[in-house]
Amino acid sequence: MKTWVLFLSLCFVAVVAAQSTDEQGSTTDEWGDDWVVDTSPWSQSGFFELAWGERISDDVLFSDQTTLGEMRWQQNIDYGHEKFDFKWSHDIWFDDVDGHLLFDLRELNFKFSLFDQTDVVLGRQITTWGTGDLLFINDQFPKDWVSFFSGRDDNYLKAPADALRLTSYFKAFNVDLVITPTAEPDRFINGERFALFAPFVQSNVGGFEVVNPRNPSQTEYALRVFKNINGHQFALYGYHGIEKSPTGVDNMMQPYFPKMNAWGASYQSTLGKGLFNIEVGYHDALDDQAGSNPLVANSQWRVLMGYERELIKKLNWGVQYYVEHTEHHERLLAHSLFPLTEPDKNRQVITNRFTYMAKQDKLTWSMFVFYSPSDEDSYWRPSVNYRHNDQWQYTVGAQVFTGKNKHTFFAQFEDASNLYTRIRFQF
Amino acid sequence: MNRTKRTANRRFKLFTAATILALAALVQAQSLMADITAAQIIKQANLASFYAGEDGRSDARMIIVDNKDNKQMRQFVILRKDLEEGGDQNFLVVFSRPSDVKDTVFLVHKKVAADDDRWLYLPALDLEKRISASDNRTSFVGSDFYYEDVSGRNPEADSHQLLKQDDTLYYLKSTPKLAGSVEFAYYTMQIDKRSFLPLLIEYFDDSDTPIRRVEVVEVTEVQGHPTVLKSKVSNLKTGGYTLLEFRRPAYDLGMDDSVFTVRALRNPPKNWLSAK
Repeated sequence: MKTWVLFLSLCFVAVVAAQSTDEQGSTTDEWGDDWVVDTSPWSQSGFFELAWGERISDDVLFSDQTTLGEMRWQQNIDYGHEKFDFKWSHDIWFDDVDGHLLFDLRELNFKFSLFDQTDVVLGRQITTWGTGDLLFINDQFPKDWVSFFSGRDDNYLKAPADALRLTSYFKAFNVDLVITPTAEPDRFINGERFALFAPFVQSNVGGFEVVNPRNPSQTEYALRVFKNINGHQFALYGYHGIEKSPTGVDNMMQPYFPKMNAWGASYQSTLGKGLFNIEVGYHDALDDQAGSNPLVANSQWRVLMGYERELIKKLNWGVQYYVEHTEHHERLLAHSLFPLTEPDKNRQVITNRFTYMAKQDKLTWSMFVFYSPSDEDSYWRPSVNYRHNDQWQYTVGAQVFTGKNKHTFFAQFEDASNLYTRIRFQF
Repeated sequence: MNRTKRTANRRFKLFTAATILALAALVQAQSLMADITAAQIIKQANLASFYAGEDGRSDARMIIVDNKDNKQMRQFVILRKDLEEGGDQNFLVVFSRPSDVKDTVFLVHKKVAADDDRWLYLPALDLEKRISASDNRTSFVGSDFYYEDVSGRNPEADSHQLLKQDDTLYYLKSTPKLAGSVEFAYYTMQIDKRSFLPLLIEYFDDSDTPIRRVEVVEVTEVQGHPTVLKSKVSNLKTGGYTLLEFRRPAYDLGMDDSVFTVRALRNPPKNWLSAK
């Protein structure tokens, strides 16, 4: 373990040193003659990052209150050819919370075009679509909630999957198809880093791997048909696959990812000085369409509406209203073993995002708040980022969960509330 | 003999007529030159600065220097296509440096009569983000340049006044029609008579103190279009400045409209990026 920390530290020092020498050699002329002309098809970039986070108040289920402790190296390698692009991106980090050296391959893919109108991405990749801001209805691609809750960079919210993506552009409309041969679930909260509410014991459980589901083996199909007409953006969505979190329990009492279909649509356009979006989706619980199986989540309608605009110079504001309507809710309660801690029939969430950029965009103040009037709980994400120069960045922030009851979605993470800081050197 | 004389006479008449016509034309042209209105100069300057050719591409690099001499850099390729001369335009900006903005793509459908449509693509999240029209007089990617400096300020937003002219330059003063809508009280321009490029723009506050300066440092002719290769914008209040340098500019490449669709966000057109 210590050897690895030492190794990563040495890499860090070596890169920083190399970079500073570069800088010194290039400041002779104000206009600089150091304009790098990219003649090589290869290019690389990456960063080293130190991050630390601690719980705001102790969670008695954990002996160590550290929620984030890592030294991370991200490396991206690209190869650009006339006919295709190759991309490699990995993270290696020593994780003090986990106690291990970890490796995550984020991208390893080829990108090329066929018949002029189709773009293909083949391999490990990250995919995003939909109109919500940190709320997802038709985006069924894997997300990393552990990273999101522990204060890693927002980019880590999206997790990679091994997939084939075909995007075709036609006059009438465009079609986007993503096939993931082996379903890739979310990196969900499983009790190891953050505790979660367990209905069977009617309290929080954590400090070990509480949820260890059966691995999914299905193939996922995600389809988007979209069109932009003079800035009015329309899209239809279809998905066949799994619930991305293990919301089901099978006959052997093992958690698993129930089969699911999703159908939806979205629209986005300018409205006044801002942007308006609406998105709707139906999550069809294939393993419990009647809604009478208490061990499998019911089908849901999900709707969101959003608006964002610049309030004053450099201050952006975004607001969203989101509803999850659980179908056959009466049946769910009638069959539930724990009817008091089942989700509300219409779980509502209002989000607000404020972003203020200062000092020539070097300093970014950000606040994102989820508030649920139906659950009476909330999740606050304040952060401040300072981009000192093209190499160094500093971030401090917090994740604060509050709520009236123990079992609601955000409230169950109350003891996971944490403060974090990150220092990054990018190259 | 008689015939020769008549011919000569006729020739003389023709010559005289031609001379008179030419002189008249010259006088008229001169009076036109003298009478060129501020509005006409501004129109020409707008076309020369932002509408050269039907389309265009260039490599670009910014060096951003703050008052403590800390330097930052932005390197990108900018593609443009005019939908209408002097009217709506499409822009695609593809960043290559520094590493936190590498492969970030910015697409703008600029509209003269309405707010622009803008999209940003963030590759790490594969996020195609529609962005709301912001105040156009805010920093472009953290530099001292404003969005408006890069894509052009609507000539109709200001009333323009031709103060004077000499052999090479027009001197204009422009005052915003909506006072208080912008951070300056007025600005002055020195516009080159030959190329119609504004070589110096200075922005003043209410107390006539210059607060910002945009100056052209180097111009060259590309395919018949006078083209700015180097320019500098200085924030006279903070002491910071940004150098903007263009390389390998080219016009009339025959870019297709499809270069400026959302497809380009995930798959920017390689042939126009590499300038072959």
